[in-house]
Amino acid sequence: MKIVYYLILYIGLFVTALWVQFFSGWEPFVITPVIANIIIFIARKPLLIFSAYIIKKQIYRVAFSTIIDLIWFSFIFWLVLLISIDLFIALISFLIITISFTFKNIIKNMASGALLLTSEQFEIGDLIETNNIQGIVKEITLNYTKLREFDGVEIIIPNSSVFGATITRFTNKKLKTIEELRLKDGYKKDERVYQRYIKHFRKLWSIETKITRYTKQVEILGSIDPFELEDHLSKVFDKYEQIFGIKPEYSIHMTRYGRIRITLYLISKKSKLILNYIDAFLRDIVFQLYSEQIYEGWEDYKKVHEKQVKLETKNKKEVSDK
Amino acid sequence: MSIFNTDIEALIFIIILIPSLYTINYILNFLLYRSERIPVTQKNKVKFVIRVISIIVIVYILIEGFPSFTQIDPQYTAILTGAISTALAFASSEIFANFTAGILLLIVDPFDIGDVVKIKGYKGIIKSISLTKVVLETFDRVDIDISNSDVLSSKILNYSIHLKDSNNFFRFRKEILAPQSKGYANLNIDLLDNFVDFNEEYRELFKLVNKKQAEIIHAYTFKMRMKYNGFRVKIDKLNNLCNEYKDKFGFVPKFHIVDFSNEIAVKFRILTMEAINLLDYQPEFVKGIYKIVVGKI
Repeated sequence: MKIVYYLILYIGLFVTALWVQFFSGWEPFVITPVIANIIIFIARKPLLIFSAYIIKKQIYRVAFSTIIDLIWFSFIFWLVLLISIDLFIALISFLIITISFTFKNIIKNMASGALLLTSEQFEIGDLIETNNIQGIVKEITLNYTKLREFDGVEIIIPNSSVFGATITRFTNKKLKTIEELRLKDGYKKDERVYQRYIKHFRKLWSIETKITRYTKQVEILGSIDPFELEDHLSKVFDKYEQIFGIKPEYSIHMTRYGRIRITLYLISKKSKLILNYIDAFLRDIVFQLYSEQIYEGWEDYKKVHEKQVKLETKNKKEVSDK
Repeated sequence: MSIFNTDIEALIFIIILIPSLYTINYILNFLLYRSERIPVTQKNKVKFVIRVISIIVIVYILIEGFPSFTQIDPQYTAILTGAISTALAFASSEIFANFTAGILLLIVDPFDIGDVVKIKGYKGIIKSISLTKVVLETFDRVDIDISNSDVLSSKILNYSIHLKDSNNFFRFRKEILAPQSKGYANLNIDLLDNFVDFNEEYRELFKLVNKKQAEIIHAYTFKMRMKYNGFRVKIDKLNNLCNEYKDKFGFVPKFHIVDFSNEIAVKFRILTMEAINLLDYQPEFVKGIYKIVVGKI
């Protein structure tokens, strides 16, 4: 709005305030709230502008403006209460119901958050899938769940939609298999032996190993010789056994349109490893399976470009020498 | 005490009042429509205020005007006012839902102004956040308003990285790196199939960030599908293209394989310090990729 309109509005309000104070002849207990309301209304806008000028952070700014608005509303309620009690009660009941209705979603969110935290459906560091999003759980709070996706993008999902939806858990708990106690030969029977026993038993009680088993479905063209598929894949699997700790597996899912759909199983004790290495794993499989097609025309291209690169480096050297 | 003495008087007054108020409204609207100096939003505000005032006047006279209403037992009036107010509250609760969602958004704080986000399937840069709505500018340069209750009920993808510790290089690298770069999945390889080491580039970027004291780095990803034939040659061409865009984005875009079926799906990841760069150069970059992908080897 233009400043002129504001000036007109403010002058009009000022004049009405003067009229109410001196010439209206109303009762004094009505005059004071009316004038207080007018003053608060006039002071509100400059205060908001002033706060926007001083406070830079948005949260504080909004908090400040809401406080000012609440004070303004309270003055209006005071006026309404003085005019008629019936209207005041009706307003209050109206407000209570609207507020309770609008907070319904938030309360639902919080309740499902509390259930998620206590039920231990999943923990921080697990690899899960909800709402068509796969990722590692980074944070669970009362309001939302934070996931880290395969791109490294952080996703915030409200708890109400996490709790209602189906959750695919790739990370499972597994009890640790009991290892045999091996004591070195010639170990004397003193207190240390018992200490070792106690340590070992503590480990047995406390440790639950977690294993993440991630599945990925890919399609392979029918042009690949089915008798060589095993060899091709096992080469890549051997390489990634060192990284994951456990050898990846595969199974044939179905065939369609002359293509084969296979499921790859990546198994590891650390969910993070799978997130980091899955794309490299897929790349190696692609390069292994389709090396003939991928390197089509590569040799000629390489020869031409190596010459260019050599020329460029020579030129650069000459320039730098000069 | 009621305003009028008898019910019939009040009825006649109301019958006269309603059309007269309607005509006053009509005339004022017409005058507002004719005047060109007042902007449209102000016109709408004035119209709304006039309408609300006329409705309040009618309701006030309906309640206070009829003398027979005052003779009703106060218990019944209390019940009536309660019922009416609950009905009104039910009807208008959805409007207030946005406000509470706005307050919750401030508490949760999933994004700031200028972040690159994806909400309800819309990808874009956030222009403004208010108590009722969030405004996005998509990559087609179109503004989209999303109400706060919708924002809170949908999943939010934030592509911007907020740097916590900008003094430590190793922490900086850890925050910036995508999981696939940690696993050396990127296809940024040279002619002899060696993986290009980006450590020097990260150091350069780190120095730049420290110089500008930037706190946010924006990431952006998109997918492209390619044929198997001659893929290795295309990788080299794409690498050259990515190196050309280093000056524009401030950092070399990277790409890796995400999926394969009858074609290879390749994902590109761009990092920049200013989100405007994405709007300006990303379409150009995609055009360059398209020429390489579909063109002859």
